[in-house]
Amino acid sequence: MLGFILADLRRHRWGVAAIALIVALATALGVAVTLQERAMRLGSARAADAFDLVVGAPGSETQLVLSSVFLQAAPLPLMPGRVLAGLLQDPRVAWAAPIGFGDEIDGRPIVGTSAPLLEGLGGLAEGRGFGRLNEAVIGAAVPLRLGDRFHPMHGHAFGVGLVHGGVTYGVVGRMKPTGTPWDRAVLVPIEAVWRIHHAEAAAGPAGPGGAQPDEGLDAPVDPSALLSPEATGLPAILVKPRTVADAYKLRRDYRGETTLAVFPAEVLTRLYGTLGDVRLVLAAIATGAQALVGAAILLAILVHVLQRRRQIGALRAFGAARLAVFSIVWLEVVLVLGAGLLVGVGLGWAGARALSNQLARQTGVPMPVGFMPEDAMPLALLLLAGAVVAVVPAVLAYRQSPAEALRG
Amino acid sequence: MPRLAIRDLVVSYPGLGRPALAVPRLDLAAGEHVLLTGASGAGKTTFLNIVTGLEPVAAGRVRWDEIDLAALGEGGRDRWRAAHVGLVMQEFHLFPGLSALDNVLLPARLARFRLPAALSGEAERLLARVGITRAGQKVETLSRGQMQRVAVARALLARPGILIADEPTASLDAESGAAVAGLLAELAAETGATLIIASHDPLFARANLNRRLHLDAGRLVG
Ligand SMILES: Nc1ncnc2c1ncn2[C@@H]1O[C@H](COP(=O)(O)OP(=O)(O)O)[C@@H](O)[C@H]1O
Ligand SMILES: [Mg+2]
Repeated sequence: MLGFILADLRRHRWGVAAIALIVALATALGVAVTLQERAMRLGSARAADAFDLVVGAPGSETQLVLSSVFLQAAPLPLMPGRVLAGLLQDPRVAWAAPIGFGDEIDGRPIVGTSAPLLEGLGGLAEGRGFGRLNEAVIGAAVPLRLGDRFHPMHGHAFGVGLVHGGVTYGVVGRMKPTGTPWDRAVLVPIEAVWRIHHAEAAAGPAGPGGAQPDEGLDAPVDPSALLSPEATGLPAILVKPRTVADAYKLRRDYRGETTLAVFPAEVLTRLYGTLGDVRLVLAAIATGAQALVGAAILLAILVHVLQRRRQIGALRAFGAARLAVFSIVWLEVVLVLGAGLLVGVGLGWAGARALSNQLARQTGVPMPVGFMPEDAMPLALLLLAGAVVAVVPAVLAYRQSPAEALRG
Repeated sequence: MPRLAIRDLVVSYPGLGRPALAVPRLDLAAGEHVLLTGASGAGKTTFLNIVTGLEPVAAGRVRWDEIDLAALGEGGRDRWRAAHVGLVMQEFHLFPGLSALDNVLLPARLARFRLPAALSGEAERLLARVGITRAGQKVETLSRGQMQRVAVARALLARPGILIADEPTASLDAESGAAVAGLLAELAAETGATLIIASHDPLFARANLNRRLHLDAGRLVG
């Protein structure tokens, strides 16, 4: 019987392939939505792992997390410099480091910070930390080498990129991969960022030839500069609390008039809620597409079976069992649908992989695309639905009168 | 070999003023060779459909030996036909994509779970008997005369006691038609099967068939 089915499918291979392909595409749509949403959720959750507590000026919590953890450029409100000084001296704080957004180099953000953050994000793979203000440590994915020198450019926030003609950083170290957007960042001392913008502010709306005292950056890093209550305002501070209890106390204490403290993980969870809603909408669209495809396929198969009623009915006249006629049609439909489903799972996976790789390249956040045991359930349901749907043409063939079939 | 006994058979179709077929009484002896003639629309196919169990008996009795087809359901008639009837039709109803041998074996394959090993050898023997030498050839590459020979071999595979042919030569040229007609009579004689051929092909008038029935507007005459 299987030999007959295979010969029959081979004879109609183009129609069969077309139907299987449509089924595959509909399945791939649903699979890709599931996998992609999961990849984004897992990827961003892992990226936020190293960021226990972030303190910024009051404003949007989401924006604070997106800017500090995911380095999405956005003009953040600043908090007074004394906040950092207070945190650095707080006994509940293991370490705290400023996050200041400087310029960029070839589309990669230059982030001003301090030495503890280098250790806190995993440490250096090669070279050393910055000891002078014109030294830089690059993220694992930055295509520069130790010893390279570069000029920072103004970020997009300022419109057209302008080279700070006078400023030159030298690369002295490279971070270990962190699996976060920070792999794409160039880290420099926060004082360097401050000084460049002070100089600019002093020079007014500076053009390319504006006075930038490069020699002003040729100085050693001075940790005590961060402690000065007159220190420049900061958009964000990354804080490592000593204990979980400390973390909750710090968050409570730093949610007030002048500051906002957030657990990035918590903010992300809320974001995922939104993401989950989007996924539901997409999943509904995918399900709708699958239902439409199912209906179209059923129609195609019905027409096909009706056209072949003579052939199929004739089988019974010559001695085939009625159940065999039913099984042939049913198995053929299920085989085609099943093949389409399998190919669709592969296609969906490949599609999610391609999309995730693309996103990972753009954001620096690796997005793990993978199946979970619970994914089998909707696929099994889909196959079951296919098996049930296949009963319709099979019953039609089963009820086909052989006498009428022979009369043609 | 089975004997046929028909009593009070009436087949009517809606929209047809008279019964398509009315046979008050007919007996055929076992192993008889019958030629059924009649104009187109006289009821020949209807008669064959009834005696092969392809159509249900609505009124009357149709008995092959102890089996009353009127008492069997659709599945029962299917099984009885698979075991006792070999069918050859005007159209060959062969499946393209399958070899001659696979076509001969197909109904048997679709009637039971496992094909008895001897059946494959029997199919090859039958194909050779009807003059098909390349059993592995795909049927769509055969000539029409060869296709009908394959259909004859398929009809004989289950060693049926009843061999039925409905216009078996109508879609063949004269030479192939004569060959197939000769084969049917020879093979029925060899196996002792009861043979009924419905045809208005004059070549059967010359053939060695020992009984003639003529249908006229659904009624047997002569
Ligand atoms: N399913 C059917 N519905 C209505 N009329 C039918 C049907 N099958 C056959 N008939 C009619 O029954 C008569 C006998 O048909 P048939 O047995 O096919 O004749 P033959 O085989 O001798 O040419 C014809 O008038 C035909 O139109
Ligand atoms: Mg006819």
